[in-house]
Amino acid sequence: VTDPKAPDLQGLLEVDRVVHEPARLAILTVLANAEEVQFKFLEEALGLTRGNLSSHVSKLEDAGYLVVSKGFEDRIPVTSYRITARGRKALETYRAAMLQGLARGKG
Amino acid sequence: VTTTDPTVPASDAARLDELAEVTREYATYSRTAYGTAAVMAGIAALAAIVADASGHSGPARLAFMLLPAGWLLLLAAARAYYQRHGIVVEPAQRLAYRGVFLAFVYLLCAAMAAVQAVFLAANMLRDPAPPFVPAAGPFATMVTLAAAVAVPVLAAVVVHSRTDWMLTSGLVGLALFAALRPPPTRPDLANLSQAILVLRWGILCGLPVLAGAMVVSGVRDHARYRRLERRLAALKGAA
Repeated sequence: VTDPKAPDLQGLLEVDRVVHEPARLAILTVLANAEEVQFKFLEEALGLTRGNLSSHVSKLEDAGYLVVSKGFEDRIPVTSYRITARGRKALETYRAAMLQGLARGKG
Repeated sequence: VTTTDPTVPASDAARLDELAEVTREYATYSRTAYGTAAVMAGIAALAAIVADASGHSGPARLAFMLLPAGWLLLLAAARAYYQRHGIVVEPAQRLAYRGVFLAFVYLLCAAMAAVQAVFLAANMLRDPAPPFVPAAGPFATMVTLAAAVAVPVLAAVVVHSRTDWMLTSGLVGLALFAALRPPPTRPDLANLSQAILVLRWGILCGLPVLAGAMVVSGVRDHARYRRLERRLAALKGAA
């Protein structure tokens, strides 16, 4: 007899580890709700240190989940980020898997 | 989505939802919501009426010459203020609902501002400015009635929607147009001058109401922004 919860738990075990990390999940959540976000806002909204934030952003960039654009504003360098279609898809898939798995777990 | 990681404040579902909502709300201030700018647009429009009543000469005329440039600077300052926690650009698709109507209004007002700039420049060469005589006749009556109908509707739209750079710029454009004094003496421009005079009269009838609505809307948007800042600080504080 197969456990009816098994497929969802399997789904939970196979979630995207890049997205699963809480800081990266929060970053993707912010980016998914805007066209473009500056580094400064991420820093303020998430309360992460610059180094920590840069590290997570780099991992998301390596995974192709966001794109970075660098420019200058009043001669001050500014960095902005956009979520990619791949990143949006990864976030949606992750959320769906988690919600489904947790709902089944409660049931 | 639950986690035990202490380094990330937005790590549970509720906090992620709050983070998403704060981001969306904050992003609206990148393009569409200019609380202070709306207040200033309203004040600029009221100033246009006061200046007109005071004879629209000397310093008042110079002020109107400088108004478009001042308005652009104000918009830039407002954007910098409302995006001081980092620029978050609103997704373009959220702007779509504003639709063709606002684009039309904006283009119309931008054209008015351009016409005004030309006429103001011409008027700067004349001294003193001609006295304003309210237009009369069927066309004037029609315009006044149209203003009486349209103004409450536009005011309701302003009060019940987020202030918008197009709306605020539009109001400034109207104020500029209202301050217009067409050259009265050239026969080849007589019809144009009369038409402008009548339109100007219609706008003057409605401008105080629209300006007041813009001020109310701007104050409300600014208060909303201050609440948003507190939510943003709470998100950061939870870290």
